[in-house]
Amino acid sequence: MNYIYQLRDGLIQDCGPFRAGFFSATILLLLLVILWYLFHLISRKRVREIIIPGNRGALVVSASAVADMVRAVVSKKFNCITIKKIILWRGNRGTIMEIQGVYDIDGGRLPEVANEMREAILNNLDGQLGIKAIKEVIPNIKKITADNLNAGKFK
Amino acid sequence: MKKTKKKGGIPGAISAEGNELGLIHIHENVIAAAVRKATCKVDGVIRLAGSAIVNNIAELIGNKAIGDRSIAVNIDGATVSIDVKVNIAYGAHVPTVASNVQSAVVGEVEKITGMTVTAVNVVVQELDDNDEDISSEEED
Repeated sequence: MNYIYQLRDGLIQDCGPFRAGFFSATILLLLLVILWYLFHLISRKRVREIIIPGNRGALVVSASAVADMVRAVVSKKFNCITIKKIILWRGNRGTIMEIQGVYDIDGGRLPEVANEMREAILNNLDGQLGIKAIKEVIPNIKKITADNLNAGKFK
Repeated sequence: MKKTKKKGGIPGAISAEGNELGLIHIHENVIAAAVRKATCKVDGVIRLAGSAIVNNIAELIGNKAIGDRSIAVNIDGATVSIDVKVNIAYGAHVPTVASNVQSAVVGEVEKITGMTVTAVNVVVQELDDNDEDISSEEED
């Protein structure tokens, strides 16, 4: 590291002000490129569609259609969960589905409800859409509400 | 009947060397119309996908007819590959509906144009509830 500083200082001292500025700008640009590359390497990649290849052409299911199905399943079977956002990510083992939502405390024990919901979603994805690429469903509860408790309080 | 893609002629059209009377040009809009007709007939398909606002604006500008924006036709000589975006009814088995769409489109396009359909890619854009249409009809 000291060597780099010495090299840079040497270069800047040897050059005129224009060249010194040019070298500084180049180093700054290189740093920005490295940061940008690292950001893309670390950040999760969104999945916009799931492609199922077939003999006569592919079946492409958009993330929006997957979200529609999940919303329908959850609203029918799990009244205690209100979905706010569904995101599909590309993971190492396959596609990951993150479900952000609000949980009503009257729904029962959250881990059990989450497991049931996970199972119902994966079954429907395979059964109705023919999607096996989604390997993981992660419920992400952003908020917990207690509608009945609040209703009783304000009566 | 040998068919070749016309170069430098009518854009989006293919030429067919029919007989000594002349050439037959088939525009991609003809194929798109056949695809639209075949797709909308399949059980489980609610409508072709696409934003109504965008389609209306596009139609006002005169770009393409409503629905055709959901269909992409790629002509390569005597073969054609088609991408079609659809909204499917919630509850329908999507792979079955997609397979039916592929069969219907292949049958219709090959019957009308005589071209070979190499692939029909079905893009399921959204899942819609049939109930919405029924309730709106009842209100009317």
